[in-house]
Amino acid sequence: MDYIISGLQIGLIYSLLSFGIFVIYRTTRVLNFAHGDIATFGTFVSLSILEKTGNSLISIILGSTCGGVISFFLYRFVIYEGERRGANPLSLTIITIAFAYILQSIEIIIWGTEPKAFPSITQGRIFIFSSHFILIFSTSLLILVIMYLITMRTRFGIFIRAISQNREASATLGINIKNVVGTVWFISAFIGGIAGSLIAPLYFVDQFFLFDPFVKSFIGAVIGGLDNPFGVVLGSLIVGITENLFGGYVSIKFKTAFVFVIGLIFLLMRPEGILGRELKERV
Amino acid sequence: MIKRSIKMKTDYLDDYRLISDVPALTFFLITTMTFILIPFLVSERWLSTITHIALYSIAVLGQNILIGYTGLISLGQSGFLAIGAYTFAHAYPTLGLIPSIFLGGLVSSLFGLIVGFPSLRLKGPYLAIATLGFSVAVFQVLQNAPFISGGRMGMRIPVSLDKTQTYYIIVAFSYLFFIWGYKIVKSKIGKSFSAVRDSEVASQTLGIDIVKVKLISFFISSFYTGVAGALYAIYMKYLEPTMFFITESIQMFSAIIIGGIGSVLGSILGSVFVIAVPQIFVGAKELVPVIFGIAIIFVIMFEPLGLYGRWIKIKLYFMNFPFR
Repeated sequence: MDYIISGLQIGLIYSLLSFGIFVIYRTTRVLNFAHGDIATFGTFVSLSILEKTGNSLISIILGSTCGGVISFFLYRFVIYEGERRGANPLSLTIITIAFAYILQSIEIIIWGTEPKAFPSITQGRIFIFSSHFILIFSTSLLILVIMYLITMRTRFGIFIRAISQNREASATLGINIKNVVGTVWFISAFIGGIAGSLIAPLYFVDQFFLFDPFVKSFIGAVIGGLDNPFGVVLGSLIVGITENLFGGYVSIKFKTAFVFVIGLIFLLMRPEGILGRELKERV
Repeated sequence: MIKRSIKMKTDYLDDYRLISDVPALTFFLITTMTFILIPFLVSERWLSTITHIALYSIAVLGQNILIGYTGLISLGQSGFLAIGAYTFAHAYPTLGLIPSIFLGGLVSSLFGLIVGFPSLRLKGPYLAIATLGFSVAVFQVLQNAPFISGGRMGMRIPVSLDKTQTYYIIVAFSYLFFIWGYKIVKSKIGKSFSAVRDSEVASQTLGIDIVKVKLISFFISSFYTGVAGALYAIYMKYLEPTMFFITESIQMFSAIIIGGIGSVLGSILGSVFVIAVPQIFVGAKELVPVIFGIAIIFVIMFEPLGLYGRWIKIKLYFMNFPFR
């Protein structure tokens, strides 16, 4: 039972991360490999502000905003320009890998390589759950519900869905793609920053600390299907829970390897994901 | 009147021939002489750097065959490198030098086939994730299995070669593998690699067996990378799991992109860039990834063919000099 709870906790974090990957993939057709590193950057900034001010809520929001702004600039000045020059999604994906590389070393230059402890917002236990679990659970559910309402009920959400279905057509209908997609990148990195700050008390913060969760949430998104937001969340939860069960009952050393094996099996059985539609390619 | 018009290739053999005319022959001889003479000309530190570049370029060429020519984005390089290196380290005491280098390549290419099977159904970034998983899995196994990797203390390899001997062996291997790679790329199978990259369905209609081509591409590339791993073991004389972290894959990837996707010469240029830049910026080690990253972004935005594309443009400019 403990394993399931901790798996649920980590799975919710994964689903926040993979939701960010998902919205960017839907609107830009780019798999954002820099997502984890931008989120790490946000976490670092919020840690620094936390050390200065001591107010955790403000610091987390400011740090995530900082990550979001970086992500917005990455889209606006690199990815968008690349798209304008006719780069295909694959080379844009490579650009995000390069950007991740740059961010990592900037983090080393500013904050050093030493792992830092991130103090938890809440202490103690409520009923049988630790209060940190309650915090993660409520925050991530809140964020996911808000994102659902935004995409389904607002004008902005209609823009996003239109762009994800047909970019050119929505551009001709007067949607400002540059700004809408830029905002999507901002939101994605903002959520990533919050997820990073929520998960940080469980680990130590260094420039690679989100690499593992990021790759796993990637796999979760692929398992669930990169077409469907519910599939993305479901896949991440599956990854988190099975990973923790495996770590608890079989071997904690090969936890990460096990996730990849699951991912491979799923990819071989259903390459389009559990809830995804079938992939078709035009010649 | 143009003095020397551009020599066109008129038939397939012309394209396949490695040394087609007198300038190419001179170039070939000059480079060979230079490589033989280098140990007498440069300091020990640069000799070691050149050795590293030579062995690295083998791996980059192998991955370039996979990524550049066949278009299968793979991030499993560090895993193949590790498999080659550790196979060599375990086989060396019983088998001797040359056989265990080739054994490293073979074992690595078997793993390449295993990883290659999912590639038949996965595309683009999905394959990148799967192969990334492979290299993370190899890294974890190495870290948690002391009987393979020698545990935290690492593993010493009792190779008794001095720097010059190591240099000659590694350069000889990279010569061999580069000539072979050139031939592969120009041969029928190499052409079908690029055909599969450009359009799978169209190459299927031309009677190319996609399954076979992709698996052969995985086999060859992981063979190259495994051999490079074995040579790396000879070069370092010491192995530990952290040498094969995922950043190694990304570094090799950047070598391919910077050097030029889908070119043999570009693999050399890219590995020169990737290995020599950290040597030049010894004082500011943290800046090196920044330079790589910015170089990749610039290459993709402004010169999609990388350093090789730039080189071709310079060459064409001088070939018909007064005219543009």
